[in-house]
Amino acid sequence: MASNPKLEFYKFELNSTTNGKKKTFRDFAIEELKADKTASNDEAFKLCFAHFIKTIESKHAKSDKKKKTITIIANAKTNPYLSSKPAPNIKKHTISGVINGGPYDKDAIVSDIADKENNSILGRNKSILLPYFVFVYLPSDYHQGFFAIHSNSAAESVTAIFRSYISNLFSGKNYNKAIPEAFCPQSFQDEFRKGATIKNLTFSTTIIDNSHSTDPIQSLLQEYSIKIEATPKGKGRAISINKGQKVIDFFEQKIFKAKNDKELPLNKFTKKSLVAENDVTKKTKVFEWDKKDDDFVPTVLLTGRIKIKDGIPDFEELKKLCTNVFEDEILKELRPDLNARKVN
Amino acid sequence: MQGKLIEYIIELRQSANSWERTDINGDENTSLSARFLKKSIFCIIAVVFIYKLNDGFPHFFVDFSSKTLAIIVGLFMTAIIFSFNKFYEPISKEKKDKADATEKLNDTRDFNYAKQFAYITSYNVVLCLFVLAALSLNTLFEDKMNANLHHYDFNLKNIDRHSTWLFLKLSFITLQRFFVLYWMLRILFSTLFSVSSMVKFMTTKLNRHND
Repeated sequence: MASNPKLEFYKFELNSTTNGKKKTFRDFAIEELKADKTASNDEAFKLCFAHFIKTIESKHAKSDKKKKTITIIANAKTNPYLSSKPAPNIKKHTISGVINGGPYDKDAIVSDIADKENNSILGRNKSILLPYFVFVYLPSDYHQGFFAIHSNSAAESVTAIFRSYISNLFSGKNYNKAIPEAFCPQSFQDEFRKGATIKNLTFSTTIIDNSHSTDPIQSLLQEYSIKIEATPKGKGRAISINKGQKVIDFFEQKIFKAKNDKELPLNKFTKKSLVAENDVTKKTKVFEWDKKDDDFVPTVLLTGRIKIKDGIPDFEELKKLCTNVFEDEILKELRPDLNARKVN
Repeated sequence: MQGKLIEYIIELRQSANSWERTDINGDENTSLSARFLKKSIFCIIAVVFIYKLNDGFPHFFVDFSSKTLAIIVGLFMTAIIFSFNKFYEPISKEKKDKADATEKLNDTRDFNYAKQFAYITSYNVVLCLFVLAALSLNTLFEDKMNANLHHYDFNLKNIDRHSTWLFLKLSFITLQRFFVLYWMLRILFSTLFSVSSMVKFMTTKLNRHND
């Protein structure tokens, strides 16, 4: 699969088992990491960072289901990105750096390209590791954290295992697993929306026919799903995604006749989805119109944003990009409390 | 002292106007409607009342307004003094290092509200004093200040010293009536804001401690 590095964003909330006030990462450090009750926010963050790095620094964090591992190889001879390993920013409560990750349990062969005969079996207990950049925010004074992770393609990705790693990391005696939720900063959404056109629209629902019939086919189809797809046809008929609601409104007035006496307008269909395509990047995205409303998660490709060499992004530039996006945008979206300021 | 007094009053006016448009999160609404809509409505109401008031402010209105404004001045002076240190208690450096987002947000909001209340209420008191000063002219020069403006009209052909002096006097009377009405509307608005926001702030603070 062609390498086309992208960046994905997730936010997650600490999932305390006790009701009431939402628990912050400082609370987590006190309750689960045995921090002193008088610990400051910065001290609590240091403990959270140690908790984050401990497993991947000492061994492989693996997923038997996904057959992938993440770790940090502490050998500078084999890991050229060791100097960029995850490091904390104590004041900002962020962690950023490069981890290693990849698949294991494969029948992989290691072969010399110049000398085909020089080959050996990798072994199922060995992992093929690639560098992946992560940016994590663990605010001691807040209940919601955030992480961004880069991936090269659908196959060359450790996003799923990193998600479950974070999810497990912030669980414990008093905390259920945190559930990371994908999101996309508004500027990237706007950027996608700018060149995005509607590719097609789908309305789907399940119809239950309660009438008795002697017709053998009708008796077999007492319950069925129906899907209606509308696709704009012809060149120059591209409709901007900004007009999505108007297009939905137009089609919602159309009527599907399930039976002679029963009319079902499309606005009564349970699911409405819209496929949009960005004409510039040629990337498509499906939106659940009901659920996502005006908020959606387009893919953020790194091509054109930072230098990419041999399919591997320049991690220094990626760090700068993540830091800028985080400080200028994500923090404002994630922490509405920080928008309040004392007026002098 | 005079120089400082004018400086303080100008600063108080500017800050009070700015705080009327600023919420407790520190966001100032700089839109044209936020800046001018309320003032324009008050101006229109004041002009309409001037037109309707043939013989100026009735005697009992001056009497009633003076007493009411004096009470407001007394009440709000006490409220301003008592609000100091009551509405906002700064959190210590040690506590701040451990504070969570809600505590920090509450600290910011308390700080902003204490300033908003102080500025708006203080300016309200100043306006009350201005209105009292303006109304005192009605008691001092009752006949002159109660001139019926409808009995006069412009005659640009015969402009002399007497007509110019009359024009200046009538302009002054018109302005006095305008500002009394305009400031009283502002006082009414600010008083309603101060009282209702203070109750909201107090109940929110009580609920906060009750959580």
